[in-house]
Amino acid sequence: MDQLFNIPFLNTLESDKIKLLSKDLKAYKSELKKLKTQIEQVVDEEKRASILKDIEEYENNIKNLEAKIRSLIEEVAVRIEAHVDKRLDEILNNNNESKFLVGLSDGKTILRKDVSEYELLIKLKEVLERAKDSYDICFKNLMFINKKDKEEMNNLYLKYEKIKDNYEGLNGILVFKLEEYLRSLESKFVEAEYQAEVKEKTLRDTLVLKSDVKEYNLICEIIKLLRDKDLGMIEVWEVAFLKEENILKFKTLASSTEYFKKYIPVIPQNEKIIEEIKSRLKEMFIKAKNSGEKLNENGIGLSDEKEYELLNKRYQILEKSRYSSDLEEMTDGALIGNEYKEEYDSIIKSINSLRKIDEPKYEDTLVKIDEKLKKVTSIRKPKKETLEFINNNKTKIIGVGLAIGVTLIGIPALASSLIYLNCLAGFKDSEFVPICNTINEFLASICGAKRVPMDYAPNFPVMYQNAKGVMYTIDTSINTVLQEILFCLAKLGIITGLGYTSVHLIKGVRDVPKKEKTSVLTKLKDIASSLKSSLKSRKENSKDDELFKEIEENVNLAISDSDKTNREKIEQKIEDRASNIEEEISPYLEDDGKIKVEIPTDEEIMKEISDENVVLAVLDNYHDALMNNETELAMKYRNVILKYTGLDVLEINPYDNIFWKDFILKIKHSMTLKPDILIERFEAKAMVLQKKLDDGTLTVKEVRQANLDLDLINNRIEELRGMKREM
Amino acid sequence: MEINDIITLQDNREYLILDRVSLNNIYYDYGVLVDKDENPTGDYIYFKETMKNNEIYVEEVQDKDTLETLISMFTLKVLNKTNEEQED
Repeated sequence: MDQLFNIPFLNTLESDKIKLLSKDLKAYKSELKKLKTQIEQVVDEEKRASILKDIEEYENNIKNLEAKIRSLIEEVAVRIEAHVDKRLDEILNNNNESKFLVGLSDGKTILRKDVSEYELLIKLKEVLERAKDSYDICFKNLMFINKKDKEEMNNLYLKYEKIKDNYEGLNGILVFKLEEYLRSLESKFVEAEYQAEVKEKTLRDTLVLKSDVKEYNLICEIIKLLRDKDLGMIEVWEVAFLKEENILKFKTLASSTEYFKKYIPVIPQNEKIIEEIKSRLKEMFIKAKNSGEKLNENGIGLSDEKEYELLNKRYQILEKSRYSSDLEEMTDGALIGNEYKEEYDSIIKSINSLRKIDEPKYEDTLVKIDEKLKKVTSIRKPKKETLEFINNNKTKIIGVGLAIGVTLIGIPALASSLIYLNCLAGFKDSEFVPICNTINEFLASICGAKRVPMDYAPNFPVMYQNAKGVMYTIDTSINTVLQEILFCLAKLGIITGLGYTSVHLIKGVRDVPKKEKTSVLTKLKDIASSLKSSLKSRKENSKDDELFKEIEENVNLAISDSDKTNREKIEQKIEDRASNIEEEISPYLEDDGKIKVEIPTDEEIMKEISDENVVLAVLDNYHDALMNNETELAMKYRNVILKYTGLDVLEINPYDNIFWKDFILKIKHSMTLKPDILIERFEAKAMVLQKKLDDGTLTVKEVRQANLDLDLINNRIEELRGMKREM
Repeated sequence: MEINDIITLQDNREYLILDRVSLNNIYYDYGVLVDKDENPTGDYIYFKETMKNNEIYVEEVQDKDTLETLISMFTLKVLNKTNEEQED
């Protein structure tokens, strides 16, 4: 990004000079025009001569200025071009020994981080080439270009701004959290329980407990790396974005901190082996204790000393490999960093020989590999025409395969996901949102559902659904079973209540089978059975046991048939539910049993989706956006929450379950507050922000955010005052 | 291995790599069988990549949960790309 900031067209002394001279030129031209008009009205010869002299002088000045401007423009153009060429050259030659390479359509290979800058520079070069022939306008008072390229330059400039904004938001939340963490370390200084402890100065000249200095300084160094600017930053541990050359340094620093421990991904294969090592070490200690053998300084019997050392080294490599980006599978199934693989291999051999375990014969290994795996005998690039065909039809080729895949894993499961997600207004389950959203979008696209355009958002609840992209208009030709399932699920209590979208779906049903009890019962069982199988796999991955317990109870009620008494009880309950269904669905049915085609009124919609639920759903969206590193989107959701509750979700650690649950309670409470109380809350927040601004300690970015927040808060206070008056 | 590469397996079948993802530090490929003229057929496959003795091996993914996850991940990539293209 540094290089991009320095692209000369964005600001140079020359371009400033050009601007000034152009201003002069304009003034001279206007003066000349005046003189020419004036001379036509003057009869006196002496006066005419004087004016003519002035005209001549102005014409000369204009000529000189034009020549000067032209020469400056050419100078700037040459400089820009030289810069562009130099950067392109650097980008094209800076692709050695990197794993992050990207092949371009022009056949060149460059670093992934350089792609955006490369494309921008190539386009800029083209514009400059065309400006050599003719230039007629000044782009944003920065450089002169051909009029036809104005749109192109606007696009380039917007792209540049977007890249810059993306960068600025990239590590924003993480840096914010780290700064909070540093402040918490600093605040320990005044806590009574730490009064007696020794304090030490940090890299930032602050005082913290001596035991926290290392952690504090490491975090300071990490923040510096996170603030480093570059195009195409690379994601590490799903938490930070870094320049390629900083990744190793970041991993080394972060792995020594307490803060980042939770982010360093474990390698499941290695964890198993670590457990085995621990249990072997335990055996050694017990043996040493009971055998009366001479012990070494670690409390291990001398006969096991060698194995102990080897296991220790093996353990360390397994741990260190968590920080490696290039892993390789070893003979014992461990995934080890490429840099340690030889050492690890030799340790395994030594351990095996100590334990007198025969190494598997090479031939045996080969047979085993042949059974399970297929060797890749060659890798090549396709022919030019094949590549062209693939590039032109890529979406189709990929889409067909994925559609087949979707069929493989079962449309029924996916169908329930589609309705499931459309009913999220009633069903609060953030755990499933991302995967359902993915499947839902794809399913919706293959079955012809259309996403409601973003601008179709007359009110807040609808806007929320559109913002997530989950609201679809469903074509009536879609299998009516979808609507039936939805309806039955809602009535079973699996989807809580009928949200607007549910009603919206139901209105599409043209023909519903007769509503005899047996038919409803059979349908319920079928639905519950397919739902159960689709839920089973999800349950294993879910942390929300309570939610699933509730769902499973409902499902079991519908399909259980093992215990007779239980079954009778359940049948009775289902029958009760079925008869309730008749009663409950009657307002939606015509006399002939068909569902009424009615669009709910705005009032009904608002009643179905309460403001509290909407804000909570927005909080879910915020969480999802954060997890997906969509920081810009996360900030939008954060602003909505701030506006409606006066609570700032940025102050909460989204990874901390307790704080997160507490925040949800706070939102619920906030939605019940009267305007007066909310106004007080906003005014207090505004005062804190204003004080921070007045102190002048904020960074440029923080100042910008504080001003945006102040605007939002002030507007909200005005709205709330209006609401108060209406009440 | 990279996207758009054609790989030949020991049974002489050739696959075009359509996409790749990394899951738990393991690479998975989404490929399609190609005929002798390099035309994609209707046989799609999901491979798990493994290194053994410095050589690349692939194994067809058959586990349902992994398959479901992979299909969702690849679908998400396509949707994101399509959305980006639409935005552009």
